Amino acid sequence: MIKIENICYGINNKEILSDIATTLEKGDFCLVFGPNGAGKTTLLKILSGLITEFSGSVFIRGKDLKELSRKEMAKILSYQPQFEEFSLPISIKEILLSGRYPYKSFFKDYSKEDFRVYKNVVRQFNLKDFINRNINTLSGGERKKVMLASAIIQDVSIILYDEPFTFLDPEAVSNLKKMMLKLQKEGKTQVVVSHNFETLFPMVNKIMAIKHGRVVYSGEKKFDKEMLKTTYNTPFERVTFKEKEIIFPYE
Amino acid sequence: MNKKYILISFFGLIVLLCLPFIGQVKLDIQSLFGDNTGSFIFWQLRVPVTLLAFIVGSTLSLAGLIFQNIFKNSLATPYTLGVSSGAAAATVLAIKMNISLSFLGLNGIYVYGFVGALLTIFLIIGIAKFVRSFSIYTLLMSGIALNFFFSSCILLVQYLADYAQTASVLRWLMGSLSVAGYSEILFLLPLYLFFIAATFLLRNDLILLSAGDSFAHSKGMNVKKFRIFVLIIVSFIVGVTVTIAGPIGFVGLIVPHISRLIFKDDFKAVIYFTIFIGGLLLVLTNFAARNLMPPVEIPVGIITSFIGAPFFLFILISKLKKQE
Repeated sequence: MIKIENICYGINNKEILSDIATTLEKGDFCLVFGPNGAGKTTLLKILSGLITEFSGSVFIRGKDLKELSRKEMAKILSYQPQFEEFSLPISIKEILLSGRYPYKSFFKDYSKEDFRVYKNVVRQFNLKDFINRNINTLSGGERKKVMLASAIIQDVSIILYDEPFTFLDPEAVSNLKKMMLKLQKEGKTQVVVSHNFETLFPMVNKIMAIKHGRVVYSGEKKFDKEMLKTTYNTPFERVTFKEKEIIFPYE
Repeated sequence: MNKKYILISFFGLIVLLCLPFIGQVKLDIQSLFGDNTGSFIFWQLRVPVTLLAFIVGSTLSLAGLIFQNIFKNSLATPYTLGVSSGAAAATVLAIKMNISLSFLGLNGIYVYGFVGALLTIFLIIGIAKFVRSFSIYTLLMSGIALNFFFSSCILLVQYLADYAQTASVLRWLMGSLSVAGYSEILFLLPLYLFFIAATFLLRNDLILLSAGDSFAHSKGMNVKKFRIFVLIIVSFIVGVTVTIAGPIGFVGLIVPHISRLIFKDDFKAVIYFTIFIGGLLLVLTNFAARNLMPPVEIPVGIITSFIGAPFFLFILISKLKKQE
């Protein structure tokens, strides 16, 4: 699904990422973690095509990322940034419909098929009461839900999240978790950049630890005290609660 | 919603139909037909001025709306970013230096306006890219700086020109529609219609871009290409309009703002009303300009700036307050 080979990237001779490599399959749920400034967000930006001047290669469904057009990419992959700022009023309906943008040709309006997909997802995500509201009037959790729904309307198979749980209250965290697990069951490949181990570690099946732009560990999920300590310079502990492995920093 | 469309369109049409009858010379329907002063005033002065005011007003308003979406900022318009004065400076300079060129069969004078407008906008984008910020401050500050620069270019040319030339250039710089004849209208009309059609056809793209570069990018838009494509179209139209009517200020700021206040995020309605209210506003302002202090005709640009500048401050202050 996603194959990353020897990605290196730097700005002004400063190395930000070096020799990043990993492979993700369909349905994989991967947690990318590491200290602030490790290059996690940069990695997501490379994967989503926002940064193009890197060396190494990324293959998505066997195709070289650098050769995909913007629209082709938008049909496969959606990037969910940490916080999206909207300075002009824009309705939820427009945000959601824009998920059909890659399927629309220039100078044309959205088609009946586009509206059909849109309506289905509105029903599925229970957003009917929201569609005429301005995106800036929503709470953090509602916003995440709308943005995720827009990615589903986009019909992508890969979703990348940057710190999805920041600023969310526990109910919103739990709702977003449910949505992510549902997407995993549906076979979407998900990559999450986060420090939020308590929430994410039990959910994911793969992990990737990055420090100073280099991979500390990448592969199947495992609790490895040494690896976590190397990554964060702080010891981690594990408890098992209701058959779920929960890990957290503990000194 | 449909009621609002009908109501405002109806009101607008009435104003458009009635205004040419009102003025210092009273006219009645009978005097319109036949060979007399009345029919001359009506058909050769008032009707073309009203038509041109409508076209110019709605063009500038629509250009303002599009700039706001492209820069994601309600204070960014061709006038506030200095694009209009860039067009004006280029036109004045080229006329003074007697450079004549024609482009794609267009009259040379329109080309200067276009080039001036385009140059300004790319300068501003260049500055914003250089400092890696498209914030209000960067855009407006560069706009203000360029405005000063172009104004001094114009002043220099003015200073060097002879008295008669100076007077007519000054008149044009204040924004004036009284030069209008049918030839200007016929020249502008196809561009105007094309501009409106393009705006409606590209409305989904404009909405998407207003949501932010990275968001638009993630939905598959080639943001850079689209922005440049639209900026070239808008600069062309603004350049031509400025060449004809002068840099009429603030219409492009006030009208989209009001439309957005009324129709919020219904962008189709916002476009429609920006076109309509923009046209009407300039028609009415121009009417006021001609009839406030008869027989003196105040340049219409002075009136729009009188209303527009405080309005601009009002938006700026409320925006900054909100950010606190």
